[in-house]
Amino acid sequence: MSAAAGDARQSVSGSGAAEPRPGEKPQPRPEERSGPRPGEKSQARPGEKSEPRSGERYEGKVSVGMAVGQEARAEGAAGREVSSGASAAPPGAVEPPVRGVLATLAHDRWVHVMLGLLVLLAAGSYVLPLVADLDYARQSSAVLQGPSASHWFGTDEFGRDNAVRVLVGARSSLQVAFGAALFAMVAGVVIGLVAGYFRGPADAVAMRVLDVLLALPEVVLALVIIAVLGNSGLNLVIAIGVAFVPVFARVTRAGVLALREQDFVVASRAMGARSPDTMARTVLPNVLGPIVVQFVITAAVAVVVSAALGFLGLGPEPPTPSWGAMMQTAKSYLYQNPWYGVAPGIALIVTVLCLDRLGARVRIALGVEHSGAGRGGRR
Amino acid sequence: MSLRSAVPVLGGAPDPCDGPGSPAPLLSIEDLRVAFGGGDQAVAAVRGVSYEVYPGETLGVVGESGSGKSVTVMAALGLLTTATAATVTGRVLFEGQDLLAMSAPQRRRVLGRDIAMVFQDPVSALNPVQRIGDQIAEMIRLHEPGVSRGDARRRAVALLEMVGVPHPGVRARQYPHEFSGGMCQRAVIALAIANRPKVLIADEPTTAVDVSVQAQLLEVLRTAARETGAATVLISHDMGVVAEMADRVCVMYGGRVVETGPLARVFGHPRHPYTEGLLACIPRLGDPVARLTPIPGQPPTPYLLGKGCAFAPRCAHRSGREVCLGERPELVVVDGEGRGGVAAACHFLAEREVPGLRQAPPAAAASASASASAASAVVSSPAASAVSSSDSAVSSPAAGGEGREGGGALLEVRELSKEYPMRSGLLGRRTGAVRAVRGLSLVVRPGETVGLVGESGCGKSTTARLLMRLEEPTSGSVVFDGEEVTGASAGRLRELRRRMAMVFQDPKASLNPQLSVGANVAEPLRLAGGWSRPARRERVAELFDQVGLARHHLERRPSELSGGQRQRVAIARALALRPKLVIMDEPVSALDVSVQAQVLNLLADLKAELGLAYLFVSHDLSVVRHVSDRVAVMYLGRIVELAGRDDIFERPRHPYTQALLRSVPSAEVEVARRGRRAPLQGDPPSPLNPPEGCSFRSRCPLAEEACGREVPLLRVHDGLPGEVACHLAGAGGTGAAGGPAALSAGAGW
Amino acid sequence: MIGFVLRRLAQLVPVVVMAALAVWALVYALPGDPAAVLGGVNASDQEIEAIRQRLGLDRPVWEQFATWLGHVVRGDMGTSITSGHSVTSLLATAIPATVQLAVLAMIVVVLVAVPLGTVVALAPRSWPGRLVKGYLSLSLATPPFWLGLLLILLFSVRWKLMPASSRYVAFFDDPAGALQNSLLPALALGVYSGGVLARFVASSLAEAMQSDYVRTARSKGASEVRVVVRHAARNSMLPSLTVGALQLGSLIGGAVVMEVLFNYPGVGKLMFTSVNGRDYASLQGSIMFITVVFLLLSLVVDLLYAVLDPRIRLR
Repeated sequence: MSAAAGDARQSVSGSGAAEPRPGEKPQPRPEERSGPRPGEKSQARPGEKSEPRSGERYEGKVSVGMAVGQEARAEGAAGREVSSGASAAPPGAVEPPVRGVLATLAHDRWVHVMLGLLVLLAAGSYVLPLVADLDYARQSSAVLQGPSASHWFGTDEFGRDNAVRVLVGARSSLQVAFGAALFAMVAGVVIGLVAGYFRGPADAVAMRVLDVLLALPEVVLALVIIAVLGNSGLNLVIAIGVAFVPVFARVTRAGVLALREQDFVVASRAMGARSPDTMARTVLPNVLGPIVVQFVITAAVAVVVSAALGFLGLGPEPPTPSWGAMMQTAKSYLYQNPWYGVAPGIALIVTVLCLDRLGARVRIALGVEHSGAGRGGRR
Repeated sequence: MSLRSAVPVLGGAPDPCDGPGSPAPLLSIEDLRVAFGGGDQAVAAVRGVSYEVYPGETLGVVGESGSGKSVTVMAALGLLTTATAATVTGRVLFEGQDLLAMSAPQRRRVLGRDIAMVFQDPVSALNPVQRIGDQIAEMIRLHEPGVSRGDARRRAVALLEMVGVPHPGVRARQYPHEFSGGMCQRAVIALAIANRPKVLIADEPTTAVDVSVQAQLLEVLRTAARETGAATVLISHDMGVVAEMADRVCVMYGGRVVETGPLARVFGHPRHPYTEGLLACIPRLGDPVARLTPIPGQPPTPYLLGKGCAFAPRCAHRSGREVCLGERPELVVVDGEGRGGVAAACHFLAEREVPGLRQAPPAAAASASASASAASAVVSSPAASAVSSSDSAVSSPAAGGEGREGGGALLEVRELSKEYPMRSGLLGRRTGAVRAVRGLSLVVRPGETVGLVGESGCGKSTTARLLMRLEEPTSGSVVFDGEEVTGASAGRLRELRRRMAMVFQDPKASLNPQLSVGANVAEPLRLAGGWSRPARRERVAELFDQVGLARHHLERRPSELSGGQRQRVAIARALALRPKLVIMDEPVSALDVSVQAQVLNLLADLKAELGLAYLFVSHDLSVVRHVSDRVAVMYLGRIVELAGRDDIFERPRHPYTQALLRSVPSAEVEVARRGRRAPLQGDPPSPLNPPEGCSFRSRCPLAEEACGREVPLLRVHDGLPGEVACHLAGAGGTGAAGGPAALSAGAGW
Repeated sequence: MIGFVLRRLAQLVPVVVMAALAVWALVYALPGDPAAVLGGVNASDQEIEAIRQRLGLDRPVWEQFATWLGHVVRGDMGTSITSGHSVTSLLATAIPATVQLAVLAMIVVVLVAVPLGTVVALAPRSWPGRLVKGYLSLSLATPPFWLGLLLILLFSVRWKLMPASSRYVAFFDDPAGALQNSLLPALALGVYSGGVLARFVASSLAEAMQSDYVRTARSKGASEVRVVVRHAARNSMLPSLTVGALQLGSLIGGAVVMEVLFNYPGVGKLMFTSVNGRDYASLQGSIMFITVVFLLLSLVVDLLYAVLDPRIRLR
């Protein structure tokens, strides 16, 4: 819900890094920015020293050691060099190649566990009711019973099996969450890429509009949008998705801004590339890392937001179960069946935990710094 | 030894070359080992390092990146960042006590009081939210709790004054961001000497600054050491800096000391093949050679080191012998004892003592003979000057005809300017402008190399970008190959950009990390159109051969290659469309010296083979001298001197050029020992607000009132070769004579 | 300083106007006559005509917006159709309740975030560090309303210590009563947001501990406590502060679900009832409030930054 704003809407790398601090006017110091100084040499050195630890590979070295080094990095930049003057990677630090990241993830047993659980949940919610005799709408006279062998999580006010309803409730949660994250990602990345690459007044206007959107907590925003559009599955996706568009736009834009001045982007222009070519082939693949991380984290928060909206009575129509709605009803029967609301909550926690940890592992594999600054540097 | 007398600055210190019987070392590191990570994945960054520092001396520790020189001291002082799981073993004895075995509170009493550090990056080494004076005062009060706050502050101001910070009273109340890089480093030095430490450890103290500031800082360091009587450990990758400062040196490679001994003996007569190679591969300002002698291969990475000698894979002397790979050579004393002794770690030291087998480069041989006849090591060694003059005679035919008019221009730049507007306030009103490039004119002819040198902030890189219109010039024109670049349509511009090419400073940053290096090289071909896939593949393979990369590297990612290999890839990419002009923006600055030489040789070969013209932008004068036919010296957005290579370096006429040349440290002991005095004071002025008239006026030792009235034009004076922008250049009638001559006297190579 | 504040306030104006525009356009985005929308289904023709007059619906669109904005600036946000009261009076009672809840929650946030974040930053590998890290992951996955549900279950249903449905009792009138009513929702909100903030505290402090100036401080021979307190903490406070202040904003806005859960009469509850009752005038009012609070907080953050960080000059 709302406070979840904290993580997904502020979290990923350097969203503020490339931007001037409040009150600080961007000072055009061209040589500082683009020109080589003797000092940069020194910056480059420690970086090379730290090669085995910073997740860079060298002459086909196998990546077993990498994970360790990168774990350390996630612990707060431990992977940075030990020696003199070794500061962090430059703001525009570039993603490691995708191939290496996938290999790292494929060897990560936490990724196996998290992905496994999520796949299990998704498959269970869609497939299990088809193959086994599980009907979330089947009513019985045994209402509001506690957990038992036949009803693991007890029954609801219509005597329906809560375990089945929790399982099937995963459908709406996952659909809405991934739909919203996808919507936000596509819209946000396009806005961020164009705004960051071309800058100018359009960029300023777009960022101002997004600031206003960002000012509203996502539950509030979703409430308003649904109040306007009406309650339907697709509208729910849009309503939640819109709240996350600014985050994706900011993450993308920050990455693009940092990359714009990177030599390999300048080199692409120097080779006579057109802007769309540079954006699609050179810039986009290199900002993808934080975006992917943001996608996973956004999905996690969107699960919570969709449950919050369900709790407020906005969600799938009644016979279809949703975790939020179950918790809302549970509040009315606290005295009759205290366990009623516990089960959907646990399902929710497990799902969010999996997504969140998955996001963390992807972030580690990509070497994206978890920026403490968050939105701090905006405007 | 007479060397000492040539270095009056260090006069107060006891002679370090006394040989046996000298006092006990102040700080000695014994068999220090540092490993990062644990278990099977442990990476040994330092693999058994021992060295010691004696009272009053300066020990220079040299090595390339990855040699472990910095990690060694950080580990010795317990300053390795805690989050890194590092295992440190060995002993670090200070006045007989082992720092590593001490309790933390005990060690804290030594740190800052007896042993103090000067760090590489001074700006980040200072706490950004604490006033400079308070940071120094904290250092004092930590070790002398009795000192009052006010007294500590007053002492801080005195210290700042001592290290040459102007207006120390005001500056002490400022924050680090209000200091320039050079001033920050002075503050850090003031901080370090606050408690009159017995050992001062400076870790690459001048790497982050320009040469003119470097010269000032080294002088400050010398003063600081002299005033406090501290022994100094100077860690640097720069042979010139070490040659200038150190009494004894310690050469590190692959986490070990490979050679150690008194400076003149080690640099004059290197025993270890690595030391020898390192000295041979650096381009020398005073002693240009037609071709550098690079060390083949790449610097080692700690986790790829085997059991044997770390240098074995690159060693010219090994000639395939197995023992080098299988067995670690110990550091053995070859000559002399104790402090004066030379020790080296090579299996074949004895062999190398046979004169016939040594392949000393002429420079090293010359200086070796010079130092052997110790008496000659005074201000102008006849041997050294003989060598340099004969060399310049050799290289002058190549430079013949340069600097003369004539021949169609490949690139013609006229009155090029670039301003970056400064905006402020609510409406972004324009309140001023950073004038990065101010009316620059330059011609590059087919097949020639024009060097563009200057300190950071002088606009040289901006110029490089303006030429390809990667940034829009504010005014002026650029004509390339008969066609106007400024004012070309977007389509024409893309077409033009394909006929010139650019190589950037950091190859790690200039290659698209998501593409294989082969694909990176193929990018310009793809963008140009008209190249089928097989044609591209064939061309890329051809380019790989040309720049000396193996074809099996084609599918690698840039991150899988080393720095030197990456720069080769970047060069291959630049050559893909057979350009006539390649703009090089500091192409070797990010590389280790041993690799630098390889790339410079490659550039020379390619130029000869393909008839390329280069515009070579660099801050490194020695490199520029090595590669250029003509040289333009920039200061604050303007060219102040433009002349043939030898004219600029042998007979500099602009006071700035002269000062710049004097600022460069030299790895040749005699030259270095002449006691380079910082020829320029202060930092370069801000391009936001350059001085009226001649921009160099504010730092020029010869400036007269008239200099402020008018901007000096770049023009020929008195029919001498080259063009100078100085009101005083023609005054003495002979340019280099007269006033400026006084300055250049010390620079007579 | 004052000039800086005024300038920043001036910079906020266009953003507030834009937000107002969005809020105003909300009613127009709905199908049907805006006057009918605002009047609700049961409004009489006269009532609708009165609204139409008030909003100037016969005039050009921009003039309509200006008129509406003029009303809002003068404190007239229309009439709530569900309660019949003016929106301004509804907000006047709801805002103090929400602010009190948010402040209490913020106290919880700080109490949770600072110690936990510090432990993780300074000893990430020790067992307390690992434990806290585990807890933070879990807390981040636990939605506050579910936590609230558990708290009700324990404190209200099981132990009967607190009411399951809270009233608003002003803290300064009756501290005990206020705590009894607001503590559970504040706890549920604060524990969650505290977890979020703790992560930022941890990462920024850990980053500061890796910095060169901390190494310099160590090389001076400063004790570890001094290094952390004098050097690392002050620098790492800056980013955490931003996140913390913005958390406060999201607490105020995001208390919707919590207020509904505890039936607490704040702005969130008001918003919820107005969405359900299609009471668009109240909805507009509550959104304006939330937006303005958020923007003001970002101004406060900027000011604090300028005070704490000498690199930022007040211009």
